[in-house]
Amino acid sequence: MVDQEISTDSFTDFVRVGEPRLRQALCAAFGGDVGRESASEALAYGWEHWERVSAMPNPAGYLWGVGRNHARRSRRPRLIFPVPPSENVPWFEPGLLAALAALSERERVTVMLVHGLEWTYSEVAELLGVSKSTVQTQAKRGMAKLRKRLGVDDER
Amino acid sequence: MSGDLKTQVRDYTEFFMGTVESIDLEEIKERPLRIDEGPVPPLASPSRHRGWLVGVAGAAVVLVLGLLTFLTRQTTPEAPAVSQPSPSPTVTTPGPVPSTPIRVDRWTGAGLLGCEIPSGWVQVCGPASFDEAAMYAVTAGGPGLVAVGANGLDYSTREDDATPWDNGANDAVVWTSPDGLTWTRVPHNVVTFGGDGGQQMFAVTAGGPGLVAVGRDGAVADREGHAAVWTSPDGFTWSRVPHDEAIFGGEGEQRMVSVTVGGPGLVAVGFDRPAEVGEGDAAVWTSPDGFTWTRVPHNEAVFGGESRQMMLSVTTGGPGLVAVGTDGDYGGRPLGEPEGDESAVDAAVWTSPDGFTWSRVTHDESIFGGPGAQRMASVTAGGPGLVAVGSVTGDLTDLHPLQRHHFDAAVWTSPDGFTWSRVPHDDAVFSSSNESIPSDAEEVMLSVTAGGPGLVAVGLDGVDDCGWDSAVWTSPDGFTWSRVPDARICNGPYDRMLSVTVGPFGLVAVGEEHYPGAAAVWNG
Repeated sequence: MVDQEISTDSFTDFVRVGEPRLRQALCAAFGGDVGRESASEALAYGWEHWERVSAMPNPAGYLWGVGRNHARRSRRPRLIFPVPPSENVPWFEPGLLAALAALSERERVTVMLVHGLEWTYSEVAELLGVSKSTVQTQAKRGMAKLRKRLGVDDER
Repeated sequence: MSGDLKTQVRDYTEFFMGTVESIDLEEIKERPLRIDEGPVPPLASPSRHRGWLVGVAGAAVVLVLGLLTFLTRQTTPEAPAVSQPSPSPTVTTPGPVPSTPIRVDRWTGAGLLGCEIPSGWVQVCGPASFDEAAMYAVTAGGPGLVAVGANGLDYSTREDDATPWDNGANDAVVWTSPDGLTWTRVPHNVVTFGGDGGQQMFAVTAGGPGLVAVGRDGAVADREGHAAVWTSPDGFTWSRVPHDEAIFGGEGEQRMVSVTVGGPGLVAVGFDRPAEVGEGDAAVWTSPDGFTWTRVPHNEAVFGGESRQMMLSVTTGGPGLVAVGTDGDYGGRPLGEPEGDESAVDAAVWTSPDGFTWSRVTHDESIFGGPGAQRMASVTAGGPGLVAVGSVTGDLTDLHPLQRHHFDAAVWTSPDGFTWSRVPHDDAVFSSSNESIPSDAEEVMLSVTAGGPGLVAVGLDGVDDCGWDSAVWTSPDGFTWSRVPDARICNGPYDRMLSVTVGPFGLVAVGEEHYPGAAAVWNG
């Protein structure tokens, strides 16, 4: 009983920090519906296998892989980002949403986490299980693709 | 007033993430289970998770299976496995008939619990050496069996295209086994199995210095990879054949996806694809010894054509060598995905007397074509001469794009490699049991070998509401096929068998589980 409570507390602590991270990363990769569904599935998998998952060096990174595989098998419609109501948000370049959707999965995740949510390179690298330099490269490449597609030259 | 692009990305991402509801603990714990049929009570704690429930049910199945296996093999030790009648005299089985009883304790290991498998087969699942990897191919050789694949939670396959999935973290992986039941992962060596970009071994054969594996090296997303070869004297010690851009590289990406002993010594086939999506040509490499390789010069009339040609499998047989694959492209997207153009893909066959000179078998629409897509994935010598297996989509024009993930298994036979026939379709054998979800109705043969009752093919079968499970078909002669029955219940992990061979003690299939992603082995 004590072990169960410790395990439950441990998982609760993990969810408090890990849920937003997994949800945000998977939504950036696969869109809101599939991303949230996949994050929920990954966390449920983590709950069921918490004893094993919690012993891993990077449980969040492992569950990112679980969620990503689930999302890739979901066979949902292509990724579409919701259009914000024009009266409530700042002006965006026409085509920004399509340009984000056209990035590769990793480029989009990196761009949205680094530039959109201001994660550090190290935080992104840890979750995705890649090197910090890879994240830097992907973020730079992703932004370059956005600029090229949108015809924007705002680098100074 | 617009901000710079980074500001716009920040503002939009904040808006977008704000539209997605957070996931609370109750939702996680009460999430409907995927691996059991019917409603399942909420999870109360890790000690009551679904693995425990499945384990209890699986334990009973495995105990019975293990007992049956034990009794059968103890009382008739010289007989082949229960599910395998004696080999047909018309088929050459490339390996010894099972003769040594397999120790029952291994058949009842905890790793077997909960595995839903074709009748007469036992899945070896659960070893840590299988985690976060996929086995693409297996061959008899080395200490008994050698399987190759790649690590990482990535299920891209040997012919995968147009998928920007992250392959940069993959490294090649080799496993060895004396008997098909106990598997050991060869220790990772970054010089041999790793490097920049991703490395994947797609095929392996006994030949050259002992064993030769082929695959790819480099980034997929950027189409910068090139073909790669590894050799081993014994299955345990591996070396990478040094890269030579003139042979293994070139513009775009090159992949070796199948290798066989034949021609001057060894012949590997695959394809060469440029940066343009939907383009590419078949490609052949030869070697006298596994160490020194030569690329067969490109001949547009044989290896090329409009859009994309891929050789996916090669075997000795017919006039010397026979390769099979596809001709056409799915509109730059994986087969079956929305917006793909399946009607543009046909099966294709190439022949060669010596590995150096190749000819394309003339296209016959009634055999290699038809409505939808046709794909030959694997070929072997057996049956009337040669047998190729794969999949066909049928006519999908009336289906919604999202329901196009529909495949039936398919078999072609040939007496000589030049003249081919398609085995007539039989719904009961070649079609998926999944009728409630048309978009998941898929039954695909991915590998075939001479063995068991004559021929054995493996692949996947769509199962209601849970993706797919492993599938096995057998045939005495290549013309008449039977599907090995299984419980056809939802197992959850997206098992699929990618390769089958005859090992020291019977049939061995390897593949992967996608949920969450692990190599898998089945013994038949």
